[in-house]
Amino acid sequence: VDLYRPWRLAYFVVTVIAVVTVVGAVLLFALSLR
Amino acid sequence: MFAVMILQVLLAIVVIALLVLFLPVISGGFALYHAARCIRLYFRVFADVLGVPDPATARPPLPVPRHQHRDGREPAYPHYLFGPAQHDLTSALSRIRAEMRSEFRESSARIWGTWVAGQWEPQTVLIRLLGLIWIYGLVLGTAVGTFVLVVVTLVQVSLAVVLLVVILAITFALRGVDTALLRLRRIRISCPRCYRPISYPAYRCPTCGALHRDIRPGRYGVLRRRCRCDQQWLPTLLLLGSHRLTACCPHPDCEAQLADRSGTATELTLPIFGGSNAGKTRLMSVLVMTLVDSADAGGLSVEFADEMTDRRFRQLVPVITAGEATRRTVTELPRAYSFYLTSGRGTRRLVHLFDTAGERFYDSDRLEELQYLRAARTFLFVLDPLSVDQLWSGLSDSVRTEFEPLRAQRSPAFVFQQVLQNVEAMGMDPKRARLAIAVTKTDLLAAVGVAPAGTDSAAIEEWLDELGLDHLVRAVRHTFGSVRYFQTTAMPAGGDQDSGVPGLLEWMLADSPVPWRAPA
Repeated sequence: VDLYRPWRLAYFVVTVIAVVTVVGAVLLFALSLR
Repeated sequence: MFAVMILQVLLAIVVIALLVLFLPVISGGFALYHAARCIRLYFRVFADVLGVPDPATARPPLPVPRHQHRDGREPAYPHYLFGPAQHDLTSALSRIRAEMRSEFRESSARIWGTWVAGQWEPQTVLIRLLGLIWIYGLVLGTAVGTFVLVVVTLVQVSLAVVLLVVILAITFALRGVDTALLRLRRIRISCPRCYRPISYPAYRCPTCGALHRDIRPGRYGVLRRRCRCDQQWLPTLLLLGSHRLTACCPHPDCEAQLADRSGTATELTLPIFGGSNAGKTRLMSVLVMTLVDSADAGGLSVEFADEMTDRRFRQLVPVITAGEATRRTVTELPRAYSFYLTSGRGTRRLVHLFDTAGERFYDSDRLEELQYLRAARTFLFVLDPLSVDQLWSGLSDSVRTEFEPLRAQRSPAFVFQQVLQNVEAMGMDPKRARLAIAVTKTDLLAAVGVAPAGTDSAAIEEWLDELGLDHLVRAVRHTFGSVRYFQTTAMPAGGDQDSGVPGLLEWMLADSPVPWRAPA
């Protein structure tokens, strides 16, 4: 049993959310400049 | 033939012109394709390392630290954010870098071999040029992908740092709350064997027995930690239930087992001192027996706080009840007899009774090792009147022969001065302490007609004064804040304890939060 599984799942999910948020924010910013 | 060649050249020029015209679009498309592959690769590898969705692909955990304390390591798995997360990230990044490199090489070799390598002839120019553009797109896409990955990595690292800061804040908050509660409840923990104060107990794993010296929230867990045996979760604070584990002294040269549920009640230290053979062990046993017996009559409830105390009293009670002599107390540093006293209102105190061999009080070097005296606010001085020269010389020869084996070896004045000097040298102010003086063996004195006339404190004080202990009586009066004399036998005749013992017990616990009243 992976001792860190809950933390790893949480870290993965949070990372995906953070990356999507950052990339989305950058794209929105770029679009707003146009 | 010539016309065809011209046509081909023209066609090539047109194609090249079109390629040049659409170069940004075509190369951008290729670049986008490769950048997307880089990002996909990144998330695939990252998910693999974290075991998402299949736990079997997860990176194996770090090796558990060995049981080393000099470098501050504990026999527990570190918390995910205190090491494993960083290792997961670096492991994922190194795998991504290696896979991106190998994919770049493979792709570029495939494109070169399929599209670019070979003779440049008019009919193959288009394919060769497309191959070159693809390679250009591959380079551009990899560069874009790398840039995006750097950004994503920065986001990830920042996230890990933020989570770490949050965890650290929770850690310090929990430690602070726990410490504040201990202070608020005035709970101070001390080792019953080495007597040193303990900021926080060490705990043993119930499964493998590994000693966790600092179990509090930190790099091994916030609310709980996993022992290296991988069988046991251990709570990290008294608040969270660590008192249910076996507590030990955290000092590496001691590691003695503390009282059960150590840290849940304020401690009361009651040292008993007196010359060798003065009757300290007997008196201590009778004090505890009186407490235990009175519990049913609505007194304080008594609960032995460790197995050693329980076992020792189970050995002592039959000896005392039978009126037999107790064994001589060993001269090693004494371990406290610890028990919990709980009042009817639920107030609990952990009492440490120290029964030290009389020989330890004769030598200042050995006396200064008794650091538990520093924590005491109430002392019990066991005074054997048979060791007073004036009384002893007044007894007949036959009585002296009979009492000789029962007589304490050194004069009470000497023992008292020794203890007083050392207590003062430890920085304790006796004026802030209370002293109970138990004059023992008064049943023997009564049998030969030399017992004190009265049982009240003043009468005993006067009696001692007349016996030539006037210096001792004066010194006691001037040095201690509160003094009371008692006469005790500590030798239950017919199963009834001497009436002096309940009075002594009542006075000793009078200013504690668990006062005791003799049952009516």
